[in-house]
Amino acid sequence: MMHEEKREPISELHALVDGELDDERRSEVLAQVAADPALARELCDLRRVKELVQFAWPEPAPMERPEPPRRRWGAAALAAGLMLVAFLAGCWVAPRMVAPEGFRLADVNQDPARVLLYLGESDPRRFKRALEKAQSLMERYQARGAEVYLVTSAGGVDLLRTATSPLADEIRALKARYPALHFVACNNTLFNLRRKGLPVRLVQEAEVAPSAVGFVVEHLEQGWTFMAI
Amino acid sequence: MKRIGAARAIRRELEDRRRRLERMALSWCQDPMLADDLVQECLARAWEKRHQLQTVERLDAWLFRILHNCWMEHLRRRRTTTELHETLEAPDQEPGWLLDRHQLAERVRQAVAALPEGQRQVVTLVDLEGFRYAEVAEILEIPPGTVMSRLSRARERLRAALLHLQAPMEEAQPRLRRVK
Repeated sequence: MMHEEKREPISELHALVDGELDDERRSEVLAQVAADPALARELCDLRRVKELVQFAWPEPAPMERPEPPRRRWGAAALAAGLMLVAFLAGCWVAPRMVAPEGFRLADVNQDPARVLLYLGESDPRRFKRALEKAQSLMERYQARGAEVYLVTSAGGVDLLRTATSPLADEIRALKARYPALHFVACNNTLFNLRRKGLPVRLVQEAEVAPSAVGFVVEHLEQGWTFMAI
Repeated sequence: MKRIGAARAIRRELEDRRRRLERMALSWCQDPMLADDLVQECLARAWEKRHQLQTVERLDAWLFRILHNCWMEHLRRRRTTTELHETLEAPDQEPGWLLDRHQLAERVRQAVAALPEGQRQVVTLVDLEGFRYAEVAEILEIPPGTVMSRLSRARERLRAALLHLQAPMEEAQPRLRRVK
């Protein structure tokens, strides 16, 4: 009995991850996910599994590739941003994850509807800016099936810790309104906090990624747009 | 609907898809030489059968179905002549450490290689080529329900094999929220 009930939403989660659902069903499932942490975790895992498979066999380069010079500039800026992420994150990172061989952002088509916002500092003004940015992105691109991840690490995680977050209510309201907006905390940061004996309890809406930088790099490779706050 | 007319046009369409076919073949067989052969065979057959193809829109599913048939034939031949390839030993690695990207990619490929054939094909067709479930059913000639169940079993296994790899997750499930 219980299995029957459990199975249905799970297969819907696969369908969601694979883009098989129409808009209406998609919002219904996202609403279910928003209301159920177990489903949210499941969804997060399924996404990660899918992304890992895609990561293991990267998109082949097209046969002929005209290279618009504009892109390269953007790529350089993004790469610099990534270095900065690594620097701020305070997560342990293998150097190759920061400047991966063979990974050229110039080849990635940036998708404005799939955005990573990155927050690495504990600063109430930045917290506010991050939520405002997330909200405006969701508003602007919602119709196109937008997804936004607000990824936090180092001091940025304070936004999501119940002990330190000045904006827990705002986060709850945003999540209720935009199920496709995700709040992610870096597990390595939490691990370090815990070692120092600091409270690491997170707001209900938060999800945990093993490493913020790994998370960012993987998504960038898949064409997500990156913005540091 | 665009009708495929000129031979040159279809040759170009096929050639454009060579690398995608190679990637798929490689994800199925894990052997670059064999993957090459399979794709060569697949393209040759596609060329011979090009009259079957009605529209460009159908090309991808049609082509990957041919690739699938080549692979199945190879498996049938191999079963009678040679043994299965040994899977590579997993590199000696402390679990719980963040792997570098090459090690991680290798682990993922091993985990996918360890899936039963049917599950592996479904998961790679969906994840790498982005085929719809209905198209996968058509390519592999299986019912749509089977696509779904194979996919979910495949991902369950991959999750068990992979998701512990990246970092020491804080505590066991159900994680942080319970931690004070």
